[in-house]
Amino acid sequence: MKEHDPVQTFREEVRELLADLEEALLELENDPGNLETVARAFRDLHTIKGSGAMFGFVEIARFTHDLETAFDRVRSGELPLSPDLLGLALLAKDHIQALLRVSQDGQGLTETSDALLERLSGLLRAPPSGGTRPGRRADAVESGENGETVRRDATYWVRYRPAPDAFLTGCDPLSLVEELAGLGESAVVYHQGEEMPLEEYDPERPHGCWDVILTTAEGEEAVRGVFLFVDDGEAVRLEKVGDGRPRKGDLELLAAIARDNAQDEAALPGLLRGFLLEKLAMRRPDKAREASPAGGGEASIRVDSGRLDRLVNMVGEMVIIQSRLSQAVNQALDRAALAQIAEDLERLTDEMRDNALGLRMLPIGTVYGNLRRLVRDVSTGLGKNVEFVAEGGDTELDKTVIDRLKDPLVHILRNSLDHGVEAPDGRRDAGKPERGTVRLWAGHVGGEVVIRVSDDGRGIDPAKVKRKAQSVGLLAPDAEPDRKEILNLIFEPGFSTADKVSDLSGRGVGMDVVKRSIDALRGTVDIDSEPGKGTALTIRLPLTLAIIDGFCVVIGSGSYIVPLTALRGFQERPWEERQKTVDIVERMGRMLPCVSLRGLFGITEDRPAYERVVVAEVDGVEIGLAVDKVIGRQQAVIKSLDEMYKSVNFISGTTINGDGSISLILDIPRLVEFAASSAAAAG
Amino acid sequence: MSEQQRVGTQRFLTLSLDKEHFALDIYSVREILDMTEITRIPQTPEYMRGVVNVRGSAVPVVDLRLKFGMTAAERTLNTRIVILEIARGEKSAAIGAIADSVREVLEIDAEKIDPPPRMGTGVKADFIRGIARHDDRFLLVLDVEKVFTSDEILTLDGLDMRRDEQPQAEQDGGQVPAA
Repeated sequence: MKEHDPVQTFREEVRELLADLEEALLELENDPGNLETVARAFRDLHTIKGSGAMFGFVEIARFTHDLETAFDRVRSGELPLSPDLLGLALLAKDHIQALLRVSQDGQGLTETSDALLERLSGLLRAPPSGGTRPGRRADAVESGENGETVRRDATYWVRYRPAPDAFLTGCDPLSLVEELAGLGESAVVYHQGEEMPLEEYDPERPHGCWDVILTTAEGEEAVRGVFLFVDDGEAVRLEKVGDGRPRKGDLELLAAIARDNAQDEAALPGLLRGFLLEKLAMRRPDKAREASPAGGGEASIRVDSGRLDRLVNMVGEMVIIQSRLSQAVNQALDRAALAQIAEDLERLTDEMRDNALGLRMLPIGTVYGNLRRLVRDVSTGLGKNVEFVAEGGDTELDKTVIDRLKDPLVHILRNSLDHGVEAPDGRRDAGKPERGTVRLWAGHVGGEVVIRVSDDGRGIDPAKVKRKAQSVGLLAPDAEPDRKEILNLIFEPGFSTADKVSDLSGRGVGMDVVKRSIDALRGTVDIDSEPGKGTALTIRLPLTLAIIDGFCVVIGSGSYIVPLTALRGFQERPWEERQKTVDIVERMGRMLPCVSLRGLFGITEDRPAYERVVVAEVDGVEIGLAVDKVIGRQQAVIKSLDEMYKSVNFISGTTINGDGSISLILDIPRLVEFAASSAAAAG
Repeated sequence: MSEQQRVGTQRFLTLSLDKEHFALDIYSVREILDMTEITRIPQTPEYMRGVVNVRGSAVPVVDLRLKFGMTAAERTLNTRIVILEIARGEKSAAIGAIADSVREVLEIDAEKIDPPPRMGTGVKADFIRGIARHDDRFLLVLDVEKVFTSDEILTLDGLDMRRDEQPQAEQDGGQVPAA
């Protein structure tokens, strides 16, 4: 039910419009003369106002109206687009977003609305050409509620029975019905006239009649107007059967009722009215209000209709394959025919999988707008001059990943702005352009999505990080870590180099939170920095959380999946008595550490004479993993492991094999980490 | 849970472990499966037997005998996995429990369930919600939530193996008696 709630849909739509509006406003900040963008902002506002009034969000309608007027005047050149107006428009956008979350009459927020409107009317009054009267606001309230948005949807039932002489008067009943149907959403039923003996049948007289269920905002007059020239008082019956906008499916159902009760003309309007009332009652906005305001709309997703069509086609194909399979089983066909079916099914499954995963994919650019706004607000607040360059917005990522990526990105950007980019005079002293640059880049690299945030700020001083880490006890006083290790210390909990705690970042809770959220997405985060030049943070994420390509290996009686992205090769080694858990193997003239997974996992079952060594790469370093057998490539649908097992972090999930058994998916970087720590513990 | 007022009759599923009979609130039981192949997860306590495939999802399985400190048992024809639905915050999770056999569904009057004795049951008192008599036998009514909390599993696990996680484990360990 909830998915089809119109108010919910409205909220989602407005959220999208607001995002677009924000983008337009930010673009206007750089390019105030762009009339096309002004028009875009105006259109967004106009739609928000209109649909707000339609769905009973009166406060949104009232509030947006003045803003819309302002942009209309900018559009027509009456009003200059001042930075003040843009700033106010951005605030107004936030306010509309807030209004969207509370009840429809904007309870509790009307004062904020009034304050913002006051400022707006101040801006509007400023230029003499404006000629705004103080009484404007009251008008706005009126027109917001009753003005042009008064065209409310209503549903009508129209029965049209062409007069017996209709054909003779040159009237075309069908075109009238089509015109009527064109007024809005409609469903049409044609009732055949009563059966009569053929000899009495007169082809020059119409026999049947039409029922049209029509939802339109045009009003009853417009509906009657269609029949202006044919209505002799009997040909047309028109009844309003309900307010509001039912779904298309409901109209079809109403049409079905009309079809089934065609003879009972007197009772039909009542039937329709009752049905519609029930339908609309089920979709009352109370439901939406019950849902937690913040959680609204997060569970649904907008899908590219092309992808959906392909999926539906494929499901159709699958139904055909299914019936072929049943037939083949019934006829006990030969293996070749079955093999063909299996092959077709495999191909189809592959396609369907890719498509189904694609449904969850969203371009990362959907969050760029928010981030751009964030950079603008934060840098203004800090008195810094920053250009934000966002690239690769069309890189697609799983929706869940994008949702969970937002907060870490916000954190990283804040850090860059707060600690990275210097204030303008500081930059001038350092011989850099006054305007700093923060660059956000996203793209596919290998089997991963890479997101990089870089700035040309002051960078991170490794010596300072080292001193700090030693002082808070994250690093032993005599430790000599390399540069990369030092820089990665900033991801440790409780680390912060900022001498002064600001309200943005620097509480020392930032980067470890970032790392933890990225870890939870099975990704990695890396930092590189050069003092004086800038800092770059690189996030690497798996393409999807649902399916991975891997190699199946066997140890004892258990099977495990090694993700293909980590795999570099295979070799073997003879098994020796007293094999150590961590040993050395030779590969192409180089010595690699080799971990016996059998030893690491404590598996005691019989072992083969030769062990296979899976060569994997972690952070550019190759490492061998000794297993009993290598089975082959396997696509693994990841099923997460119950949280009871969250301490076993080197297993990223499980997958169900074709025979119903379960394989464990190995997280190679963590596995290597674990092997290293247990080897160290063993001394 | 145990503090809650329980009135009227309640229905329980009874099962046997070693010589003891136990009762589980029927509402937490989702289904009962025959013993099947269990995939062991490395680096977990012995009583965490691994995961089984229940219609495409990997459900963790706990060996109740080992969990309660009894000796391990050979698999027999009667061995069953009882799949339970455990509330975990807002969500619920499925967890399997291995029992020597599953016996019957019983109705027990809430008033006939006595508070658990502090000792003598052979099972940690925390796991027991109460004790009832049925057919001249004692039935130990299990507190499903307590038996299968993941907290407890975390504290037992990892203590010996991972030095770097020790502080966290200690923290958790400190929380359990307090709770």
